[in-house]
Amino acid sequence: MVQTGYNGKYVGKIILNVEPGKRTELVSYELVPVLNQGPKDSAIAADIQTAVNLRDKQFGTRLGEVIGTSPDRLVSGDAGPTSFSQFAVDAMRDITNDDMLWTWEHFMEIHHNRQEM
Amino acid sequence: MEMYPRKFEVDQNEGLYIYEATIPGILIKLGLKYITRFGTYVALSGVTYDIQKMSDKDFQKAKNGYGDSVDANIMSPYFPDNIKVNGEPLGLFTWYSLAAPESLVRGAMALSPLMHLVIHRNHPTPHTIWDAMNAYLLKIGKIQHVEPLRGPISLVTRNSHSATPS
Repeated sequence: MVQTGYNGKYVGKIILNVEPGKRTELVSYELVPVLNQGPKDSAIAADIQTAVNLRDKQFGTRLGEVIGTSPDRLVSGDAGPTSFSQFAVDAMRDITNDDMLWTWEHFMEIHHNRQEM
Repeated sequence: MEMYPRKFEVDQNEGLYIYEATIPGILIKLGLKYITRFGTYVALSGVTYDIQKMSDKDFQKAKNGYGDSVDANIMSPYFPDNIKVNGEPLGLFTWYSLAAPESLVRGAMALSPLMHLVIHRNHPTPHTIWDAMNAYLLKIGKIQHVEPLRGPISLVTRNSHSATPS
């Protein structure tokens, strides 16, 4: 298993043929999508519920509060610039007043768990 | 939309910090050349450039430089041109101040000690990305619409919206 990209979208599966003294041979590789459907592990589900309860206790209903709306889909730009990604990089440059800001989208902290408002 | 901050440390609840560093213009040019050639999308602020297409002869020559590697198969005939920083032409031997997410700078420095030769004086600022977005939204009041790239340039290069095909 290998890391692939970010946001837990895929698990990488790679099979190598490794023999001492020989060149390592790539047999196959694939990206296995991580989906939230399917059977759930009860122990993990209980841990998640504990964390959710702790969050609710700490922040109450404020996390679900709608503070604005946008006609634009505010999504990160995995495959090109978006209104939101350009806003984020301009914001970082504005606060530091540097000549430029350079990043790849997945190096920012903009991880969405629901992409539409 | 819901977001959560990315972080390195367990108690880093405000998310990643913005780092600053100083880099030479030639590194910017090489970086743009790489992302244009191999179609990686990079998010930029303060930098603009045009995208030019090389001739078939030059493209074949460039491909030959990669031999029979995967790179030769995925490279594109595009390259950056007319690179400007804050509206001024890029100076290859000029040093520029760069802001970048903590993860990018710390990750780059961890790749090799040689990175210190090209990324100078890197250090964290007191600002998190979260802080920056909050302050900037209060400042500008409204997130400006950015039209996504369309056509072959968007498919091949997927670069900054400030890049324009010529």
